[in-house]
Amino acid sequence: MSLVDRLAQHAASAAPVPGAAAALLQSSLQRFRELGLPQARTDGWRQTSLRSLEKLTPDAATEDASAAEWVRADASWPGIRTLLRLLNGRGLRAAEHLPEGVQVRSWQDALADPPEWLWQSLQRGYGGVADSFAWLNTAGARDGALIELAAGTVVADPMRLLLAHGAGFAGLAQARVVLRLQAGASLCVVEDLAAMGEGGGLANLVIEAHLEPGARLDWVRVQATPDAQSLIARSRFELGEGASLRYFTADWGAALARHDLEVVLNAPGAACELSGLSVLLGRRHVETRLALQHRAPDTRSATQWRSLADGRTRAVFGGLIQVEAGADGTDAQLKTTNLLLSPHAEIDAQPELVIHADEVACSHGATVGQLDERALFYLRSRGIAEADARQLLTFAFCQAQIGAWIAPLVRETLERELLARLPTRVMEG
Amino acid sequence: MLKINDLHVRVAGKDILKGLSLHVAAGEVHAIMGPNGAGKSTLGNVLAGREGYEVVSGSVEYLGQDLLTLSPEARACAGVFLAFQYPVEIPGVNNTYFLKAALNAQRKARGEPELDSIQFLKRVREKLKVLHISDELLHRAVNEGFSGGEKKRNEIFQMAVLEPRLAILDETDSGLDIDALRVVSEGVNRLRSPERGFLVITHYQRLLDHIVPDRVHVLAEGRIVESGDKDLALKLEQQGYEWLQQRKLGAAA
Repeated sequence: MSLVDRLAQHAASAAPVPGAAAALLQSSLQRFRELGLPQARTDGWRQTSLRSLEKLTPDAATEDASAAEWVRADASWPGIRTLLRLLNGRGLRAAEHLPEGVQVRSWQDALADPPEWLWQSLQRGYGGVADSFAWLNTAGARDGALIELAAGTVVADPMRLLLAHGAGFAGLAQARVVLRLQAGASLCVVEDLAAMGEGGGLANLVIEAHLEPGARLDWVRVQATPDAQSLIARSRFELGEGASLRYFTADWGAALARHDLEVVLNAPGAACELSGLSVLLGRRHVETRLALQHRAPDTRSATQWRSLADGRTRAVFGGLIQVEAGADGTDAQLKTTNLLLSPHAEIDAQPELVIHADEVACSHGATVGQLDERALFYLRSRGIAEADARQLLTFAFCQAQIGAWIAPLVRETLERELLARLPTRVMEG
Repeated sequence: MLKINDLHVRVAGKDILKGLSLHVAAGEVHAIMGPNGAGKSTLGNVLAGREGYEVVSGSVEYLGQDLLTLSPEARACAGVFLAFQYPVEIPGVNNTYFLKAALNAQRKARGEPELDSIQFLKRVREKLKVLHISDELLHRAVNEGFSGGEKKRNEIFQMAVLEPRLAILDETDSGLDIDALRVVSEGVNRLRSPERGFLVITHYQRLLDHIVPDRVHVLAEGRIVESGDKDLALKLEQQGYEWLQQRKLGAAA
C-alpha cells in the first residue's frame, strides 16, 4: 500500500462525526486521495523531500505518558499556566478553571456542532497538492480544540498550549487547534511543541486563529519535537480591522520539519510583527514557508527571520509577501539574517515581494555569513578565550532575535532553552 | 616592560612597519605621533595580536616573554590592553556580562579567584563614577547604538575595570569633544602608576595637554624617526609633520 493510501486509511478510521460535517470530512479525504503528496517538482516543496516518510506506519499505537513525565512537562515553563495539553495529538485535557470570557471545546465537539464562522472556514478548504497535508488534517484530525474569547476579553497572563510529542510513539499524530478572538479580545499564547522523551513518526498539525476587529494576539511557538520525528505544521492567522499579531517561533527540534506560516491582513489597520529563529544542530532539515498577504489598505508588517545551521543541517526559509491590488499604503519589511557554522550545513533564504498596489513601502533583504571576525577579536582582546568568544557570539546572534515584546516569564524560559542548546560557558559563570 | 626591536610588519602584501624599535619601561607614558598612514594603528593591532598582520622580522618582548607567540586572549590575560580606535558593536552581548566574563577570564588565567556578581558590581560602580558613565550604558549591548564619545569612554571604562599592565590607546581622542577628552584623560591619569605602562597613539597634540607623556616618538614611514620629551609634541603642533619631511630631505642631500 502506498504512503498516500496508508495515510488516507488512517484518516478514514477516525471517529465518525455526526451532522453536516461528516460529508465535509469525507470530501476532504477524497480530495487528499486525489492530490496525493507533494513531490520534488511541486511548487513550494522543492527544498523538502518526503522520502524519509516512506516507511511510516500511521497506525502505530499511542500510549499516555507517565504521571512523572506530565509533572515535568508542566513545570518546564515556570509561572505559565497550561490552557490545554495533548500528547501525540490525543487525550485533550483543558485547564479546569478558565479565565473569564474564555471557552474551550474539544475539536470533536466543535465538528459535531460548528459555529457558523468555523463552518465557513472549513468549507473554504485549501488549495492544491502543496496543501495536501491540510486536507489530510481536516479529514482525520479529531483531537485538538476550539478556543473562543468573547468580545473585550483580556487575558493578561501567557497561556500555554502544550502539544507534546514522543513517549515512544511512531505513527501519525494529527491535531487541530482553532482560536477565535472576538472584537477587542487580547491573548498571549505559548505554543509548546515539546518532546516528551523519544519518539518518531509524523505529526501533522494545523493551527488557525481568527482575529476580529481590534483583537490582539501575541504568539510564541517553540518547536522542540523529538529528534527522530517529522513534523508538518500549518499556522494560519487572519486579521480583521485594526487587529494586531506579534509572532515568534523558535525551531530547534525534529529530524524533518516543514512549517507553513500564513498571515492574512484582511482589513485596514491590521498589523503584524513576525519573527523566527531556527537553531539547527546535529542532523536535521527545517523549512519555514511564510506566506503573508496584505489584502487591505494601510496594513503593516515587519518580518525578521534568523537561522543558524551547524553540523549536517539544512535551514530553508521562503518568505513571500503579497500586496494585493487596492492594498495601498501598505508597509511591509522583510529581513533574513543567517549564520552558517559548518561546511556540511546549508542555508537557503528566499525573500520575495509581489506588489500589485500603489504607494507602498516595501523592502526585503537576506544575508548569509559566518561570525563577525572583528567582534571575535574584540572579545579575545579582552581576555575571553576564542572558543568561549565563538559561543558567546553565537548565543548573542540567537538571543538578539527574541523580541523585547515577549513577556518576561516567557523570555526567561526561551533563553534557558536556548542556552541548553548552545552552551555558553561565560554566560553560565 | 615592552621592548620592540627592529619590527617589520606586512599587511595585505604591503610593508607597513619597517624596522620599528621602541622601549617602554613600567611607570612610563609614551606617546606615538605621526602622519596618517605612518603605521600607528598597525603597531597597536600587532601588539594586541590581530590577525592579518604578518610579522616579517624583529621581536617584541613583554615582561620577559615573546609577545608575538601569544594568542590575543593570552596577551590580555598577561595584562596587555588595546583601546580600539573603532570599538566594535556586538548586538546581543550585554556590556556587563561581557566585562565580567573578560575580567574573570583574566583573573582565572592569573590564578586569582573569580569575582562574584556583587564584588564585580562594586568594582564597576567605583569606575563608572570616575568616567561619568551612566548605569544605563551597562545594561545595553556592547557598544550597540553608542555615540562615538560613548564608545571611547566605554573603552577607557573597560581599561579601568581590567587594570592592565600595558595599555595601548589607539587614537582614543579622535571624535571626542573637549569635555569628553577631559573625562577620558582623567580616567587614564588615575590609572597611571609605577607598575603600569602606556602607549598613547594620537594624531593630535591636544590629548597630550591632558595626559602628559614621559616620552614622545614620531612614527613616519614605518619607523620611529624622532624621539624626545613632551616638548617634541609641541614642536610638532607648531611646525607640522612637514618639518620632519624637510629635515629628512636635508639629511639625504
